[in-house]
Amino acid sequence: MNGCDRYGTMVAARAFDALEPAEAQAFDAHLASCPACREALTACETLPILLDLAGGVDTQIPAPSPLLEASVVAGVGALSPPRRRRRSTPGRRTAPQRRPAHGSARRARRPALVLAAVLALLVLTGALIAGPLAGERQPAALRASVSVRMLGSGAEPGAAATATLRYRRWGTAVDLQVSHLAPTRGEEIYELWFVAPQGRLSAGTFTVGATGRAQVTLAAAAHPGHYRMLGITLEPDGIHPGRHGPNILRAPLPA
Amino acid sequence: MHGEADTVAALCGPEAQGAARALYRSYGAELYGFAVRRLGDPGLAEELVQDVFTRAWRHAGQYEPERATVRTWLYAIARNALIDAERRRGRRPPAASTESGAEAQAEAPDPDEPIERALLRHQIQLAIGALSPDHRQIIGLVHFHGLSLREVAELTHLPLGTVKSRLHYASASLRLALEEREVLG
Repeated sequence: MNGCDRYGTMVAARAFDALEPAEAQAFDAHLASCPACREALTACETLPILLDLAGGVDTQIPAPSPLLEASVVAGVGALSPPRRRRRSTPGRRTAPQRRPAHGSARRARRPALVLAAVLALLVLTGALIAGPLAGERQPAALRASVSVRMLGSGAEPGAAATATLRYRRWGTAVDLQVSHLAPTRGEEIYELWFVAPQGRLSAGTFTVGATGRAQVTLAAAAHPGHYRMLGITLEPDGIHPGRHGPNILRAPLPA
Repeated sequence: MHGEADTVAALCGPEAQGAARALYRSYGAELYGFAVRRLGDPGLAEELVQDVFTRAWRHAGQYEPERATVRTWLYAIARNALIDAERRRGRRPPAASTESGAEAQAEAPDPDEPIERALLRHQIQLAIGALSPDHRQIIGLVHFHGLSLREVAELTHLPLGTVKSRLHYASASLRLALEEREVLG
């Protein structure tokens, strides 16, 4: 209610032109002496205009696949983290920084360069000793990796692939090496899938050149034991993922 | 909303995946709904949503809560991602739909509609979708079917006073839903 006891509930009906002619006339006469109703009517009059833009009230919003959430979350975890930008506090200004003299800047930078070089060496040494998973601090159960050999389904004779699956908290990274695959043409792409009886999950796509070989790292929110097979399909039209192509390679996954 | 700004800030930290999940649960479905209507292809729409959240994560450190709500920020990212997707696609017509002809035509995206207008329409549709069925019904009868309150009362067998107050409350709810989506100030 807008504070007008007598006409307050008629405001919306007037804005939607739903009053009988006599009621509309009485309401309009009342407006001249009631600022509350005038203000409420002005606010209400935008509604019919906005509703016209919507085109109706029975608008079904399409829902995404339940797998999309996992895919979005995995996508965030699969890449290197973003850098946080320093944010200034509103209303507070920092004192202007004086630019150091050229010589002192160079002197100040030198120890930082030495430190960076030492750190880079330590990181490199650590990576060489402990392998590619050392820096990720995964629980023991998630540090495992598994290699599977993918065999041709007959669609492309001679095609072969090796997939190394690295299990992570967010899912699985797959280092894939393929050979003797037919080169992709036009919109064609190859797609790697985790397959389960209840459906399949894409781990990403790749193309193959004239050599028939490719080496890529793909990822999906697939957790150990949830999927039975790994498969590669040739998708005829990469722009429309709804159209699926034939199975080219496949391998059973460990339980 | 302050809590949502904190969630965006958490995208920069070790809890990035949890923050991404929380944001997705708030906005993922509606962004997907907008993308699938605009692009006319569920597969492309899913790719776009994935792209929006990856961009949000990459640029989370640049988000300034005092300048825009999380909703506005995410939709601005979606707008840019959509423009890129449409450029990549070369403004092709959408993929064939399995819907019946009339239905497909009613829902068919218009690639020439300005994206800002499409975004506004989507927000209004979301606001309508947030109304109760009774409120949606009375707004539909009065506005889209052009019935007077008296005609609605006859059609629904409700007292005229009930119809009048229902339209009043339906309008108030719609205004509120539009304000929540920043369509109305």
